Amino acid sequence: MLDKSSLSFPNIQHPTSNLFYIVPNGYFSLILHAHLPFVRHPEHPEFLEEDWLYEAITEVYLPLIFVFSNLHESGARPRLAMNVSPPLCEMLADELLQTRYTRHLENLLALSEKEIARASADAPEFLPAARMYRENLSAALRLWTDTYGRNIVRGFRELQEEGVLEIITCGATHGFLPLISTDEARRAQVEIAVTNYRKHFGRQPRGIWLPECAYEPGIEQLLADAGIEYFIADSHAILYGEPRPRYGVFAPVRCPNGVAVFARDLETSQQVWSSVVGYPGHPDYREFYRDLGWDAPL
Amino acid sequence: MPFIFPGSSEQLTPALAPLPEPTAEVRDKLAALSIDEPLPDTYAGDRIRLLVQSPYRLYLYWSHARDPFQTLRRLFGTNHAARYRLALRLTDIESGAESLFEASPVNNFWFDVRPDSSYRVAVGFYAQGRPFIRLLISNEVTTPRVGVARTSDATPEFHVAAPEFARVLNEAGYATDALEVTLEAADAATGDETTRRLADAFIGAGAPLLRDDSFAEMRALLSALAFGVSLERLLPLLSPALAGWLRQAAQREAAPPDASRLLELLRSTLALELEDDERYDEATAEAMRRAARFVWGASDVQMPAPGPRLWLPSMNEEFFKRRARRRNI
Repeated sequence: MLDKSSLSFPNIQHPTSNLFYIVPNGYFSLILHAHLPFVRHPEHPEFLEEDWLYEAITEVYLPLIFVFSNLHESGARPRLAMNVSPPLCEMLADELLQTRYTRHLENLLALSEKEIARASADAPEFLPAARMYRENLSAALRLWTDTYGRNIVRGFRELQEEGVLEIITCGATHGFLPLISTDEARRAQVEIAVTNYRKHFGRQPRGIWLPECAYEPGIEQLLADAGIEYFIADSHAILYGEPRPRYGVFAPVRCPNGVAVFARDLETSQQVWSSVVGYPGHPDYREFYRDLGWDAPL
Repeated sequence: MPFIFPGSSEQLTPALAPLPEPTAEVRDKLAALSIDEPLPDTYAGDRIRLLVQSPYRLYLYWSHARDPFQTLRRLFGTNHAARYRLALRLTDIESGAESLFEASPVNNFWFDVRPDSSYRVAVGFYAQGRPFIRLLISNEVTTPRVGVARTSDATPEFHVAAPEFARVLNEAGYATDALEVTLEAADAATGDETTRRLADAFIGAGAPLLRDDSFAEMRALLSALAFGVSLERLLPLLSPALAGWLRQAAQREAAPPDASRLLELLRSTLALELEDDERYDEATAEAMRRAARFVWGASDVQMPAPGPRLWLPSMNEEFFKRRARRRNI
């Protein structure tokens, strides 16, 4: 049986009743950052760097939308924020890249069929993996073509409009703001990002993920001028703030001009990003750069 | 027979997969995009830009509209002009102190500088005993303060005492900053005095007289040493006075100052422990590059491995009383 006294957060009695509220010690804010450099090469029939986008659509964006939609349909309120950067929005909405991605996905699916045939005959230990890929890729293709009509920006937009997700923006080209030489160019990074956000999501963005989380004093004014209410910065943007922030990175603070700052939590970020301690660097985690065409026997 | 995926919207074979031929207009535009076009050496303009990379590093790049030596030779004659070299003059705005460097032939340069200071750089000609001839002058930049702020909010709602703030820093993964704040706050009234006592105990009596601005340097030094950064690595990065004195102290002592001795002192002085007593492997040492501010050129872009956690006792009066009672027992 749950003993109220064992809870680590305080119980507060409602002023006019005998009800108790359990007051949490804090809130966890999960903010995802989705950005890729703008890679679109119509001058070549195939271009290696475009595969970054295709891999991310298959492995990240489609599964994310799928999970968000399922959560929403099940009545959950995941209350997530996600940045979809302007270059990424433009690529996802681009007809040529949409066509090329469709071809890429179909090719992968065809490869998985071939791999199932190969594994069945010569390498049964890989058969479950090959079947898993066929299943996942088939699901991805159905989502891509049937559910979202090749336009997953629209999928993100619908999730925002239904209150599942708050989408924020990023720099126009993900430019590192503190090192951009002129005020005009910095301003352009922010204002073009806002314009691009309006184009794709039909409203004013409330927040921005600063490119590389890089802040220096003064950037908050560019954001305020563009109507942005909060930004995400690196941990030391808050920890080294003056005066000392009482709650460190564990609470947002406001700049003197009223724009709020949320800082990244170092340990959580490491789990995602670090090649040393994060899960992507673990030997058991998937190695994206293994190539079946190279690994499989001729 | 090429494989055609059933139901393919493109009706393309994976092996061939041709795209439609671009129109003539698009073809012309694509032809203009040469992927082999080399970058020019210069953009034919006078340009200079000074950038802050970290509290300790500045980066300068510049270009000239014309070869400056040609102009010099035309004005001074070949023999006279040969005495000049292209140089960079770094000026500390506040103190007015100037340093001269030979200009790199690749038109960019890294400077080692001090935190919380403003700088400007001039590119020009220098010859011994002659006035510096300025060609380009950079923008002015200010390096950020290194480490946390000294001030706490005056309002009760947001005021944070140093021990509490040290705990927040430690939980946030900024253990070296937490240690510095702990040193500063070990005795609220005389944090600097505590730093001096620790420095004396660690390195030996006769430390150089610490000024207000050098207590922070000493605290950062002690933090970096406690976190396993070697003295050899730190020495070139310290202010000349502290580095010189440390070298002398190391020569006097049979054993050079090391982290394990410092940890003993921290334990006895502050009752402060590191959660993990093991010395740090390469991965952890890499993590220290983020927070150990003495390592110049450190970049926060590289995510660090998790650093060791400090065990930070509450430095209130009750803690010291309990500690004293335990010792008496």
